[in-house]
Amino acid sequence: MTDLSTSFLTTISRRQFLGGLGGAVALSVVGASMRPAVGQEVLLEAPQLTEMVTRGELPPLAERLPPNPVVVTPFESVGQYGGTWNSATTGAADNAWWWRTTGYEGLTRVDTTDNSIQPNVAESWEVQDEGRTFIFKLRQGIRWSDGTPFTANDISFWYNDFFSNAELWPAGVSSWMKTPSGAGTVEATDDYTVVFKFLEPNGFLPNQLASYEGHRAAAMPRHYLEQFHIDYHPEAGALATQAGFNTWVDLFLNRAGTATVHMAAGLPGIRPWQLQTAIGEGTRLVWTRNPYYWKTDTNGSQLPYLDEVVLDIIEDPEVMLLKAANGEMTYHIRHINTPANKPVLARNMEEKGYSLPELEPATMNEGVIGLNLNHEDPVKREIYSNKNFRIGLSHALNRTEIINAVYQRQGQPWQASPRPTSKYHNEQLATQYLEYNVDLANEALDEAGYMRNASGQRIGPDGNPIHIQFLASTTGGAREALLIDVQQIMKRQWAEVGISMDTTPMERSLYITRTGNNEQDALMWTGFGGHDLSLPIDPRFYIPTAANQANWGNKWTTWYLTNGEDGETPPDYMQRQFKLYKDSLATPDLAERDEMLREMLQISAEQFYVIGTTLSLPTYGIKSNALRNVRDNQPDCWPYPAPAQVDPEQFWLDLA
Amino acid sequence: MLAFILKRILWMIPTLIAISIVAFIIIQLPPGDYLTTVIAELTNQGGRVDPEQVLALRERYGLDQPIWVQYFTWISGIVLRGDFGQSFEWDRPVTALVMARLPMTMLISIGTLFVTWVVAFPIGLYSAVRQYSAGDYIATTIGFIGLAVPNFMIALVLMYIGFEYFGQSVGGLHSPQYVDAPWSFAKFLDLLAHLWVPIIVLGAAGTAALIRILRANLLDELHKPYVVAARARGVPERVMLVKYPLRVALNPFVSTIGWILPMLISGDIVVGRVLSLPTTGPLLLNALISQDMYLAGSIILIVSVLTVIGTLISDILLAWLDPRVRLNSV
Repeated sequence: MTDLSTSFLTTISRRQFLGGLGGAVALSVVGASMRPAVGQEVLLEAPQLTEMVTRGELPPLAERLPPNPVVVTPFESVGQYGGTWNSATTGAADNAWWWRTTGYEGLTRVDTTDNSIQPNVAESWEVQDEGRTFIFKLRQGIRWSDGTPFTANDISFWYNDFFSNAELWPAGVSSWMKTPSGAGTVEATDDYTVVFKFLEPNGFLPNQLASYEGHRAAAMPRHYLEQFHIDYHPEAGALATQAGFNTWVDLFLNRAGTATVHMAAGLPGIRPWQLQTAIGEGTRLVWTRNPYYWKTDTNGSQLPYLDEVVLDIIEDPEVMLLKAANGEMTYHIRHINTPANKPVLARNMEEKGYSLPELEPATMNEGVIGLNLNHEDPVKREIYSNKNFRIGLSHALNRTEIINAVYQRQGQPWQASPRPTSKYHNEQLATQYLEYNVDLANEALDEAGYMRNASGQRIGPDGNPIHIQFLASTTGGAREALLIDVQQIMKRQWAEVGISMDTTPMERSLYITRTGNNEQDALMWTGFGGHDLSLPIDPRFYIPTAANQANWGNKWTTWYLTNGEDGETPPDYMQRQFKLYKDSLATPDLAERDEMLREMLQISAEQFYVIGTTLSLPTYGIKSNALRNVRDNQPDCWPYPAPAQVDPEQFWLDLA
Repeated sequence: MLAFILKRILWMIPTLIAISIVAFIIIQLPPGDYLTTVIAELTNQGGRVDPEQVLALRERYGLDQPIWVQYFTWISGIVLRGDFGQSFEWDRPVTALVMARLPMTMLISIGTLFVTWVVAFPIGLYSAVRQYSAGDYIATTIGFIGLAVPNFMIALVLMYIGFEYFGQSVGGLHSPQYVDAPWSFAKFLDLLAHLWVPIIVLGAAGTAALIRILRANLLDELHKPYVVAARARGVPERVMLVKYPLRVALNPFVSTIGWILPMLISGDIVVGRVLSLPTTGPLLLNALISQDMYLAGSIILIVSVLTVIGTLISDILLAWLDPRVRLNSV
């Protein structure tokens, strides 16, 4: 081992370094093809870290990196150390954005080039018993940001001492860790092997571990958290009182950052950057580089390139917009990237040195119309359940007019169906009843049996004119607020075929409460589940799986979520769909999964539950021209993190 | 006088209890609770929330209990332990959150107050003494504009000008490089360079109002017989002005001191949000929006207590300043 005091600027070859001989931190690589420029020095770690090593505050790089570090191939070019990623957040409730920027290090991860699930903290995994057993082999030598080795025991701690602990996680194990007969088990069989076992197949597990749901699994440092856990530290209660918490549970949840995507000052992590700010203090949050980060570039230089990530806390989106337009955001894909803001941002683009790269949307529709098929009023339920009635309404919609008036002439008419680029694309589901044709509309509505009276209104089975009252949210998503404009146009279009409708706009909380209580005739919401990645997770407009604000069959949802104990038994074809969906998530065979999902979609096409309007527009980000190595056309696909899925650790700022 | 103060203090107790109950109920009035916000935030991105998890969280936060139980838990914590409860959103004690923002809030409020008085006093005095002069018209016009334009509007316009013409970073009280830096002279100068914006914005309406009040009061007094008498005795105009009518005209100032105390703590909500100031105002607004009820309730309670105390102080001051008030009220 090279002496610490002389190691600074000592040069050795890359092969020597990778052979484990290197204590040196700066070297020039002889003959390496990825060198930035001939004769230029290649740093193997950030200069600040080198200084810390020289001062003896940090072990040398070779002792911090795993013997075989994960090599991330830079997207365009090998980068240089330094720089800050500036962005903004609205506060602690916005922690999903923190995770999307600084935190994607699960057992597995998504590869956005082919939407497959790839190893990450787990080096590999093996599926046995048709998807009942998963054996994950962990990468050796990963360390928490305080230098303690990361082992399989950290993962079993997450599951056995946190997720399965009735006090810490009173909801019980989340549904993705359960199969019909009960919760799975997680066991660390040695330091680098962790075994997940289920009573029935749970083939979707690797996807879940790569998503927001699974992020907790590799985010709970056992050695640090045990001191706050009553099972390991009987004094945890006293510790809590001392720290001003009521119980040890409150203290543990706080220290483990459970409410803030497992980020908290002092909590070790395995991410490229670690949160330094105490949440709730100050006006910005700062993440600095993790000296033990376990990935390198192709030169063997430890990542991340960027020194820090800084999110300013800005409550007002207009102020955020102003900052973005002033070129103060390095990269931002949230809060303000609405169609309405695009002209404002585009105007200052060149002068302020940023661009607005487009992202693939996860959604398939700007607004899906969901008539309440489980309406409390039997008459309304009968009307809305009539497929011909829905067909009539769909033909009566002039979608081109809506696109021109509300969506700046962008988009194309589209039913609630996967995006045309998706492998789940279903021509029938996407394009049936899409044509604007008043004659066809009237024909279908006549066939439905609701004839017009003298004043042209169509009459329901109870003898009263048919009226549909939409509930709508005025705040929340900027896209959802636009739907109120859409409904104004729909109102006129439907009136032409004798159907009256109106909108009751309300504040978001009230909207959620009232739709949750099944009080709406109809609603419109963004069409989730349009992308290969998002469809298996959120098929709510193909089958009613979502209980909240975007529901159209609330009681069937309850039936599904309670395994038939509560709610209303759905028709046979829908039960078949629920079964297909569940089975598709159970099977570890990807081809079989796709086949089942396609069959499920085909039934949706035949039933035509909900009415689509227009295909979702691409979303966009705000990106500084100096930022390098960003793969722009990535999916913007919750619960997978954009842009953390395209390796922010290899982003770098070209300030030259 | 002592009996008066004692009586007033005793009366404060039921007032405060009533305030705490009303504050708590009002916060609960909107539909849903903090969890609705959590669900909205998650589903906004297309995520899904397990219904069981929602139930469990509701239990953990105590949101499943009847409102009076929730109220009692909260208020007994405050009275017995000085514990204002936990903020759901920030997962931190309310006290810590408020204390972290208090110094800056008070700095801005005191600065604003100071600027308001320094500007408003001479102008008000001038425009009363020189009524209908050109200067009076100018001061009156500016005053009315200051009163009529909402503060946040001035803030937005200033920010837009700063951004459009000077390319300045908008919002906040520090340049990015100083936000987390330890205090130094350079950081202090940087703070001063940013502080004038909120102070002008916040002070605009207050200054205008004060000018108008002082002018009107002074005009009332200037024509009273005691002023004429003083003049007749040959008291120099300046001395006479300060010694007699101005003192009487000060009454409205003193009676508004009561409002200053809560203002010091709460700051201005909308301007604070627009300018991204690290004050308690935006904290309160955010807490109300996300129904983070202990945080919101506690700030409202603290501000209410200060209002009640402030009113008491200004009543005492007024009684001390003006014998007429004392005789009438005690």
